[in-house]
Amino acid sequence: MLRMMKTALVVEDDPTIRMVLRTNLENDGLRVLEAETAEAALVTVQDDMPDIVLVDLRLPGIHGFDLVRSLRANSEVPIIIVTANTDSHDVVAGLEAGADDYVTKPFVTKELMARIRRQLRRPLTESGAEEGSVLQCGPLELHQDTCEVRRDGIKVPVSRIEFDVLQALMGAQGRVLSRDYLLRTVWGYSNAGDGRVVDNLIYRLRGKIESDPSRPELLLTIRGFGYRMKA
Amino acid sequence: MKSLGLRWRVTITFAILSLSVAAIVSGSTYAVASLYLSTQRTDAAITRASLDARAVAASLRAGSAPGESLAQLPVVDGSQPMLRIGEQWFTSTVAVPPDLLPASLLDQGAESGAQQRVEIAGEPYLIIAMPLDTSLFVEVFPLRTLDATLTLGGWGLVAVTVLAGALGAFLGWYVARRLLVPVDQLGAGALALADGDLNTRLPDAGDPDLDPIAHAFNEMAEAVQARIAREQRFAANVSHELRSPMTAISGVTDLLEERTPEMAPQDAKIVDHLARQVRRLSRMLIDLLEISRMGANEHIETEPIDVRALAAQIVRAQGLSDDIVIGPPAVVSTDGRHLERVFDNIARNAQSHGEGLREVTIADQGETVAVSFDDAGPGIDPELADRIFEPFVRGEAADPTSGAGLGMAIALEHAQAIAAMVSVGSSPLGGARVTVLIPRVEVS
Repeated sequence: MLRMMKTALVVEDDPTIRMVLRTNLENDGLRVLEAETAEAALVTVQDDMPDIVLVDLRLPGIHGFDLVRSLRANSEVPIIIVTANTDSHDVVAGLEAGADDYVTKPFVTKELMARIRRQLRRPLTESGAEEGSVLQCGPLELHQDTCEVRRDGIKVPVSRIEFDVLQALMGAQGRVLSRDYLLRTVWGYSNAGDGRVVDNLIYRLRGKIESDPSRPELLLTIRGFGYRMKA
Repeated sequence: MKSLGLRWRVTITFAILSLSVAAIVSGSTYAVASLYLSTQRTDAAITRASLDARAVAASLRAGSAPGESLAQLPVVDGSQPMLRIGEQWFTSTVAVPPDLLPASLLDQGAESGAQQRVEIAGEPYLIIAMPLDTSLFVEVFPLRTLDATLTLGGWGLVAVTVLAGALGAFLGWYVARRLLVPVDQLGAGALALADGDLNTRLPDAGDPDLDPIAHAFNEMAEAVQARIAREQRFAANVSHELRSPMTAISGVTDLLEERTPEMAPQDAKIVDHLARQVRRLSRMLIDLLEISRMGANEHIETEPIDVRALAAQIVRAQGLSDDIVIGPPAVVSTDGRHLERVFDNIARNAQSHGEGLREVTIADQGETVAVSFDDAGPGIDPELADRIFEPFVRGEAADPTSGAGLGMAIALEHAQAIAAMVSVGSSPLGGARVTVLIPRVEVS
């Protein structure tokens, strides 16, 4: 896709918050699409697939969870939930539906923009990897130049953030990476964040790279500390 | 004085009751048995003595010497026959010397026959005296065997009585325990409810006396649960309805603030004030919503947490070097999100009210891990130390725009959720020290 300008879709029913998000995103050089409802958002993505979606959970009509789920069913587009719901189970449900990150209202504009930028980051310019270098772990190959993950030679579709997490873990060569470390380096958090964001992404990633996701052999949990790849 | 518990009172009552009944039964049994045995023994002795007297009389009449006449008598149960002729005593054995016999008995015996129970040299005897022509026949029967039998029987009855008392006590204790089972259940249920398990219900015991209590308890639990659910819904709605406009206001303010370089200095100053107050309001709102949500059925998920690593993470988030975290790594089993909120609020408090966080010390104390946060401030007024955990309480020196004084209250709430303790004191470095005591194993 040779589109110079990246597109963000803002799904939010409050017009002021929409305006604030639009202005900030445009200041960052993004093209902004707006949707007041989940229904409108689903129509918009059919015509014009955005590069990132910001979703409010409490929307009139279809709930934000369902929007996230149907978006995730068809694409690996980064999804950030921007919500006034801070209840634990809502957060978990949003992440399980397929969101990559969540930000609670009222948010700090700078923090939100940092997270959005991280989700949109171009892999080649910032990964710092040598050209053509490939990380390997068992049957898994991570091609840093093409941003591809292959298992037994077959391409596995991963999202931007999933690729980054895998790259960090495979690059650590069996060392344990804490959830806090991953939140700061991969998600762009500057404050302490919610480890469940990481847990949930790892869960999704296992579904793609493990032969039996319920008994992981490659991506291992070190309870209380974090995650590591099989050495 | 504190009165005894129901269990003890029932136990003691049962013990006293059974002890009294057993004592009455034993006492009367003893009295009857002793009377019966004594009478029987006396009757047997009189019969024996009469037979012996007749045998002696016949023998004397036949011309035998008194000593011979006595010697021919059969000795039964150690009985000792004696004969007084004139002032002279004749006897075949010398177990009881005649001069120890009571004179009144002998006088009465010489006249019409007499019997008496006496103690001679500490031994019980039954003495029977009867006239024999002009002389006096006396026979002494030892009662030791009878007395020994009665004593043994008496002690047996005392033992039975004591046993009955003990049995009564045990029965009382058992009955009280059985009676108190529903009461204990009620207590346990109330405690569980107070601990936040709102699904606690008491089972039907199928007992018409006890079921109303269980029903009343269950109804109360139902009402409490419904009320809390209603309040939670309300709090969630309030939270949502306040957060949205707050987001809009602070977002717009952020946009305005970005434009201050292009504004007239006067306008820029106004926007600057607006932005500061909006941030303050926003921070306060977030804190208030957090504190109002706490305690309401907070979900606890324990996992091993390295306290030192978490402290280092918190310190870095404040923009400080994690070199100030001192002490060994210490792993506890707790809910990491709550502990993170405890540390974060204490650290932020030290940064904004204590002239900066200076040192964080981890001390492994076995059962607990102590984490102390020392600040660089002037220390805390002891009078304020206890009140610092109340919402909206700040030190006098605190910058009025720095925060609402909710941080420590939030820290305390989160600490309580994971059974940790927070206290404030003086740091050896001169400032204030906030110490968190984290139990190694979270008690559920």
